[in-house]
Amino acid sequence: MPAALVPRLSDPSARHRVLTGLILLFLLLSAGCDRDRRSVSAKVDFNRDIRPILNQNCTSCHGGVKAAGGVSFVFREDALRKGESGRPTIVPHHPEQSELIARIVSTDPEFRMPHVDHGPPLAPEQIDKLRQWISEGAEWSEHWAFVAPKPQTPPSVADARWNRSPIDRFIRARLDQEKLSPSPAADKATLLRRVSFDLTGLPPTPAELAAYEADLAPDAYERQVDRLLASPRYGERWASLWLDLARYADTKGYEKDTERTAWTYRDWLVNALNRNQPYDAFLIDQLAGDLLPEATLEQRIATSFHRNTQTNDEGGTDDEEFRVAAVLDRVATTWSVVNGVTFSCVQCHSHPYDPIRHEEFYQFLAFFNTSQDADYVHEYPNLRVPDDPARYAEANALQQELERLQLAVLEPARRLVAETVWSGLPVSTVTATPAASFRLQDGEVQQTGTVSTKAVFDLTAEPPSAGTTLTALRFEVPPIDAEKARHSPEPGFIISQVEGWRIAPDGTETPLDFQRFVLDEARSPAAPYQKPVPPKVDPAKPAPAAEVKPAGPPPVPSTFSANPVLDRTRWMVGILRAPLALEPGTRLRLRLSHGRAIADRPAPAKRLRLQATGDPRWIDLGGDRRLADQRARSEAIILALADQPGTYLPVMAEQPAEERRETRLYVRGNWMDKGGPALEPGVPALFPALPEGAPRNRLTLARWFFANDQPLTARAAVNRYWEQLFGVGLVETLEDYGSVGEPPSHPELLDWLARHFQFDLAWTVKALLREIVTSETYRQSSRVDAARQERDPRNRLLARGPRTRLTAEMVRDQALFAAGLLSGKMAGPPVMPPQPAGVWQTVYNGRDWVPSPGEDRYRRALYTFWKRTSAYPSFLTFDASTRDVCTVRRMPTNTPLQALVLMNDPVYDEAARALLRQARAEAGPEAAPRDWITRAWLRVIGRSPAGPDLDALVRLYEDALRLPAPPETSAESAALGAVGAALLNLDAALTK
Amino acid sequence: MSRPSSEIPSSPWWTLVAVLPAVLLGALAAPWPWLPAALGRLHPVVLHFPIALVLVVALLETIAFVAPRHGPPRVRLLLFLAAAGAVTASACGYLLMRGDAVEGALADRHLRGGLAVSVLACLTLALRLSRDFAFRTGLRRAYRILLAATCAVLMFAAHDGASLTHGEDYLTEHLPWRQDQAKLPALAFPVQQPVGNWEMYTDVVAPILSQRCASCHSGRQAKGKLALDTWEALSRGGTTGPLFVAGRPDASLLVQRLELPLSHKERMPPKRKPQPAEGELALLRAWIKAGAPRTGTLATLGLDAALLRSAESLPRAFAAQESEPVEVDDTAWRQAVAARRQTFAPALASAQARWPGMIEFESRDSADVRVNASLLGPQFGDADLAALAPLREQITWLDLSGTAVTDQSARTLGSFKALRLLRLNETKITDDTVEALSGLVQLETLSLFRTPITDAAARTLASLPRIKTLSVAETPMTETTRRGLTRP
Amino acid sequence: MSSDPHALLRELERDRLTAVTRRHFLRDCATGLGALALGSLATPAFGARRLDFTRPPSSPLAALPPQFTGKAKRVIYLHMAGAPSQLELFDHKPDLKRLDGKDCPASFLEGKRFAFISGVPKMLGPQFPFHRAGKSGTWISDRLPELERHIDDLCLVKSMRTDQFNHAPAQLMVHTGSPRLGGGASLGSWVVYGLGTENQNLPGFIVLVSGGKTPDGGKSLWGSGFLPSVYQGVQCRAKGDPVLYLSNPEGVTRDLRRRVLDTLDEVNRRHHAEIGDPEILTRVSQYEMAFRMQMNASDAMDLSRESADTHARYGTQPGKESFANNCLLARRLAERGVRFIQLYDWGWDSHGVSKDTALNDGFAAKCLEIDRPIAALIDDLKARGLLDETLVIWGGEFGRTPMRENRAGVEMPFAGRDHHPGAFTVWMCGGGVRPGFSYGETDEVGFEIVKNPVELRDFHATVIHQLGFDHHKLSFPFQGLDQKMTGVKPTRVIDELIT
Repeated sequence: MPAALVPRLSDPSARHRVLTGLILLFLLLSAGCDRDRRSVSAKVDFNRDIRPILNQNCTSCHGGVKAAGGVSFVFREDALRKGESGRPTIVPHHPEQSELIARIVSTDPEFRMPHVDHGPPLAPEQIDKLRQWISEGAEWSEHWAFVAPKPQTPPSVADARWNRSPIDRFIRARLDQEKLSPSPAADKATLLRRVSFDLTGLPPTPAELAAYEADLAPDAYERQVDRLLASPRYGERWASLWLDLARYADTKGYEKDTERTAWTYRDWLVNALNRNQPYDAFLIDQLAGDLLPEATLEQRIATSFHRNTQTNDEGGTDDEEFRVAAVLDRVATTWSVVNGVTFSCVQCHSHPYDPIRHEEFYQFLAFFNTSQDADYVHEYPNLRVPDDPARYAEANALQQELERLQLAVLEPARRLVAETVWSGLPVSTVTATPAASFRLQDGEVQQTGTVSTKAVFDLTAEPPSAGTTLTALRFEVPPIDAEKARHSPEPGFIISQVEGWRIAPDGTETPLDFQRFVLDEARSPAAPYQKPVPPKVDPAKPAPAAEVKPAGPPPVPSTFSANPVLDRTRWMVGILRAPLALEPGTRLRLRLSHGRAIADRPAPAKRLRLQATGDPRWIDLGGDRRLADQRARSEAIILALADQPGTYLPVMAEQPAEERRETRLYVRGNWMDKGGPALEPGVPALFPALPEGAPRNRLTLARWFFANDQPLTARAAVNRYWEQLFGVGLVETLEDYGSVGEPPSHPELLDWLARHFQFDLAWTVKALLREIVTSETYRQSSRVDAARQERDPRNRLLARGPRTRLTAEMVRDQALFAAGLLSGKMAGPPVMPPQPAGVWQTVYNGRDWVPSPGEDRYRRALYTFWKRTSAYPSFLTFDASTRDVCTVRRMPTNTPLQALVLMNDPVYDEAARALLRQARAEAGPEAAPRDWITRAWLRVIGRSPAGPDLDALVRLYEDALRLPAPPETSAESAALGAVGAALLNLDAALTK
Repeated sequence: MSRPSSEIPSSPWWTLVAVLPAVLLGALAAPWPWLPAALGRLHPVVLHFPIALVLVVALLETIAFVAPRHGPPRVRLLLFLAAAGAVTASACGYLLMRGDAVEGALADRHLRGGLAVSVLACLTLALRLSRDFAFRTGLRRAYRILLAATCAVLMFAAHDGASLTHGEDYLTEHLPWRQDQAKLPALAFPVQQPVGNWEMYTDVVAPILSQRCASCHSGRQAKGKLALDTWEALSRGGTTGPLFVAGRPDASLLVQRLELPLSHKERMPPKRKPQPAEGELALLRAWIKAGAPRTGTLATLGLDAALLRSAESLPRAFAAQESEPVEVDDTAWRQAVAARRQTFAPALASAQARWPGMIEFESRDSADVRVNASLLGPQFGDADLAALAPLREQITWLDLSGTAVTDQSARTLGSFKALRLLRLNETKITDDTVEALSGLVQLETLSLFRTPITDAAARTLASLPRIKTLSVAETPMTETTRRGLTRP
Repeated sequence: MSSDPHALLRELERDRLTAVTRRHFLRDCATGLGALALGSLATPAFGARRLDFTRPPSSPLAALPPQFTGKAKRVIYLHMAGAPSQLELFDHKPDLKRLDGKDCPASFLEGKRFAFISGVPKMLGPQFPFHRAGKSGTWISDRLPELERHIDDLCLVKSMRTDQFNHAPAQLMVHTGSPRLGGGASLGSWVVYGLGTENQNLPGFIVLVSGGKTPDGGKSLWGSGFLPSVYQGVQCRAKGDPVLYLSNPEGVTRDLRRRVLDTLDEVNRRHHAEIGDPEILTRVSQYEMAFRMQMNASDAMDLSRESADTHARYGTQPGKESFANNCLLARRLAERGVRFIQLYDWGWDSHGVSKDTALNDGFAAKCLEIDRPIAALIDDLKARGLLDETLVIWGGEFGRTPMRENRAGVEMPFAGRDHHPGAFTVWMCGGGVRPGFSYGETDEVGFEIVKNPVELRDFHATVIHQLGFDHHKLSFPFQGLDQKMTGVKPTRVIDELIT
């Protein structure tokens, strides 16, 4: 400050005046400047101008993951709040009061944002944009993908041919705008090859091509499309895509990676696609088919979609940990598949850049957290699926009856337990063999220290009131911490046998005569519907004669367990055959035998309480004929189901209401550290609300995804089909439509297609595909000229037709198909075509790769056995997914290993030779090599060879004949193989 | 430990010493999580009492010891307050650490120090209060020793505390010898002389080194056994070898280290230390280029006008030099690398086109080039190596293992003076080639595995100044010679 | 003061900020939050300068220079699948011997999850004697006498820890940074993504498996996760084709293959002239590379070219699958510029359920199997002057408990230990790590780390640093984020381990 000012400023009023003056001056000047700026630039658009700046420079520190300094730019209300500095980050209309601006314009490296370690300062234009945006009120708008598509009118274009289909009108208008001309239509052969692969995954046969070329009607192409859409091959081709999304595999994953019979789901899929099930029903069945009223067996099979998660059978693993992992996977997969939103990052913190909060993840997780599966080795719950689809209805009816019966049998016991007056039966002594240590507290047994898996507990208890009668005994196993166990369960227990004795005052023991034991759970989660297997008797080993069999009849079966976890107090009631009078001084001795481990650890009951009653109704319940009939009927159904030839398919099933797990937020995504209150199922506020009054379950959720105002469901669907046909989606990042995903190349077209699919076509997939593949856009030639390559190297504007490499499945199917080897057999268990020895070497997994016999060697790729830890090697080389997790988009590569596979894999070598032999046989014995090589070419590439190309192959054949052949083959065979290999390896053969 | 007299436990004073910290630490168990942190903040308030009191007691006792005629001083209350204060301060300090999650070696040491002071002060107090104190010389002697120990530990603990709050060098910052270290001998530029008359070493090089390097590399503190404050030390170099190769700035360690990117581990001066300006670097380069002479003026050494201007601006630049670390971004470095890369871009491009995948820059931050001809095996021969000669200034890493190069390449190889690594495993080269390598002063790694070299090569090998790794396994060289060479 | 009102305004803003921030800074430091704040500032972020890893589409594996000059050019990673016991090899615990057979104190068991131990197990003393070795005086047991010759070159980390206690997830954690199948890209694929492959005729990331089994984590251990699949590891085999489909099918000579390739080349080029798609030329070059690879890979994998002396030193038998063979192969591949050579040796899961898994039986035999080959590998790398730039890593997926396993509540018939994620030992050698050095400490029984814990992500960051990258900068954009091997948790390069 100039010294001259000081004396004047010592006078308060003068100081005031000076300050006021200065402030006024600033305001004037800055207002003037602002006006200047506003006159040059139009109003700022948040999504276009501001969000990219924030996402690029700010949100990684000030976003959903960490809000450094208490500042976050994901939600507007957060951005308007005060940060730790004590000043608001953004003050709408007042850039000069906004901390954001102060920080980005600062020249001091310590204060400037982005911090000097994180990046260079913002460009002056960006700063101006932010300033202007705040001046204009700092309006926030939602990212395009989170706003429902708006109705779009296709623009009109001058070219009449391009003005027919709305798709073409959008594409052409953009091309005109960019001053690019479209390519001419592709020739018939190229087009037929393209559309055949796209719709059926196979090339056209020469006969099909000939028919099409001869067909000169104006709708010849459309009729080809209809033929292809009607082909059963259609379902097989599109199932491949869906199996990637569903992370379908024939094994369970993780260490042992043992087999899972899930192929009935795959067959359902092919079937559902072929019968053109609308997309909404298709997904609702898969997400919640089990909850549909009157669910059919097919609908229940569909739910196997979410049972394709991995199961960990490794010794010593915590089942709860991997149950949680599977549930998390279901959440992530649901969002990826239906909406293309990266949801899994919200598991640990709020979404880093999209407005989804941490708690919302767990509200959503609550929809999936109450399914019955729990990383069991036997994958309970399973559905019995008959091999013969004609018996589906019967099997479905039986299984539903069984469920009802099991509940019906349980219900009276549950009621009676509640009505009975129980008196406590305090345990007075407890011992174990082998020895273990216990604590007795208020008559309750608490086990401490080590216990062996095969431990036997012996308890004595004295009835408190003498001279009573006994009709039933209740065994209760409460969790150590009942409150916590509801959301973080404790290790379970398995008591495999309970026996009891009455000890008279004189010390004589008589066995308690139990007529039956009733449990609090309808089914114990063991592999159901399986015939009891008689114990294997090894003739070499003499039966253990030394075992002392107690006299009398064998004990009544009484397995009492909470497997794998204990999440609430469990009970079992033992009902005596007749009321038992207990004279004074009588004691009871009870023996609890354990025998099975859970996850390789002994599973004793940690706490145990006994209660007794003399209520005579128990005796009646035990002998109730109706219940006995129901039980007998259940047994009969189980046997009937087991007798039907069929497989067990893991499916989704909800826990009964009273058993449902609680869901709480996992602190920083750690499943062992839960916080906050119990959460009700819910959906992120960013999306439309759930319908009022509907039950909060998976079915409501599945239907919610197809609500009219959903922003992403239809967009994600049409974009996926677009990507399959054109190689690149309208939105390139299929896996992320969020604010850092790629913006759509044709936003209006995307919205139009989405609404068209959702409302006009009522989610009919074949209709959508038909519209796209009959568009002029799709039918263009894919020739790349230098100008187009320069202007649009990745063909995002579609000034030419698509040209993409075949998928792993198509590469194989084409080779076998062209060679006449491909089997047309559909459905059934997965097959094992030849693969090199020693590829499978999994630990603790006895399964071997045994090549399938007969035509199963030559089935379509889709039916190949898919082992997660060791997928079919040649598929992996062509970028197939391992199916560990949901794969939304395969990234095509071009590597030398692909060349090795196609040239050296015996499968392709065999196909190469067969191809030429077949062609030669067709051409007849007199035909010249030229003739049958032309035929072979036609079979693979789908058009006739050009002269020089044919010459080259004929030369190859002749040269190969002259080359010395190795001893194991003839020159002839080697030459045929060489020509076949050349054909199958041509770039034209590997692309569509 | 001496047995406290029986009346001590009943003393309310003593009880207070025990109860106070217990009450404070009890705050950790209190249901209010803010409480420990709030109490912890009392640490700075409390801690000064014990410091002052212990010192006062010590002072009084010293006076009494020196001048015993006044009788024993009345220090029991003071000592009690000191002990109670020390205990309270420790307790508060602990709470502070817990509440504010302070961690680190220094904090841990401070905590241990504080606890030690508390224990020592209490013991001292116990001795002083003991009933037999007046009658037993042993007790009194022990008391004095303990008191002295308390003072000593107190000093350390207090110093650590000060370092925690004010920074490590707070205490010593303004001490004259510390000042020296930071700003070594006052720089006296002969400003009245025309700049051409300045002595290159004394008036330009030495001040630059002194300003930029000597805070770590001087007679007082010679990191890496390197001192730069005297001519002798400078010419001796450090652990990594001599600092410069006269006439060849690029080959000189001094220049190399100064030109590494800031992010590099070996960059000198390290990141966050004051960095030399570009002109200073140019001056150092010019000096080495001129042969790194001890005497000679700027004019006689023929420095150009730009360099003279840089030299002239040194006094002003140094005067304005802040002691705070400066954030320098790597832009300048990147530009320099790009410029250097530009100088041989055509030669590199043609070599890369000839041998795709064989030639690559050492890193994205570097203009040094690596060549791995071993990938080509016997397809790479003498003629090919000769074709790489245009890049000899840039190639620092050359693997010729298994190639067909022979002694014919000896001279070519000898001209690759920038080489830091050379691998000739399983080639036909002989002692003749090894002899030709004697000029490769940069060479740090040399592999001659399975070559026909003999003991005759040993002399040359031993003379390579910077060699760190030498492989002569499976050669005709005798075991003894080999061992002599490879012994560190 | 400046007359420009904007500049003045900025200056006022700045002054205000300076004051506020200084105050904050001081307060933060005083409250101990300073370190935290600084930590978060040091994490480079989105807007920071990104390294460019794009390559011409025709050569996705083209070599790229590292970010800065790294000490290591390649990695040989020896993974002992099943997790070898640190307490029998490197982590010397005399106190554990004294506690042998005593009940495990309850405090050790509280809140811990074990794979098989239940209730209160007994402590199990070290099964083999330890001694100090080398100039560094590093403690080592008597099980690895050959490796001991190199003890002064090893850099031991005795304080590694993980959060997984089952094999498959823990191995995935070690190699991909995530415990889930398909969760992340493997270290080798990151390295090849960052640096490419030096030898274009061999895969850049090669995996060799011994012990009769693929490791528990399966092929995902060398998968590429979200990275393009070209970066995944290629498993090479001792039997059959060293690389799948490497050799020509029966009845196809190399001459004939050449002739086929010539035809392909001719027709494809004509096709390119007509269609113009540059991918066609890429395919042409990939076919040529495949042809060269057939030669080079076969040659690299052919152990019969080694001398009898070499076979004796390694204990190799050509044509058999063994760890020794794989060590020798690793050296051959390193010489040929392969960037990341990953060995897995299965059979280290010493639970004590059988003789094979007994510490004093099967485990000792495994030690014998690996001792000579590893020592010979280090010898060979040294002799060739390759050790300086080759980072050799040895370790398992977790450690083993100081308690004796009591699966199913009963003591195992043989001396065995359970899985233990809390502490394990890994060593590194060459590649610019500090030789003759031990880092980190466990408590007196080797159960918990008491000094310098090293998280797997720290370890990954350190390896990545040795190869010339800041682990924040070795990133790949996926799902809207810059994915990194080390994830988002605070991670540090362990400077103490490197020279």
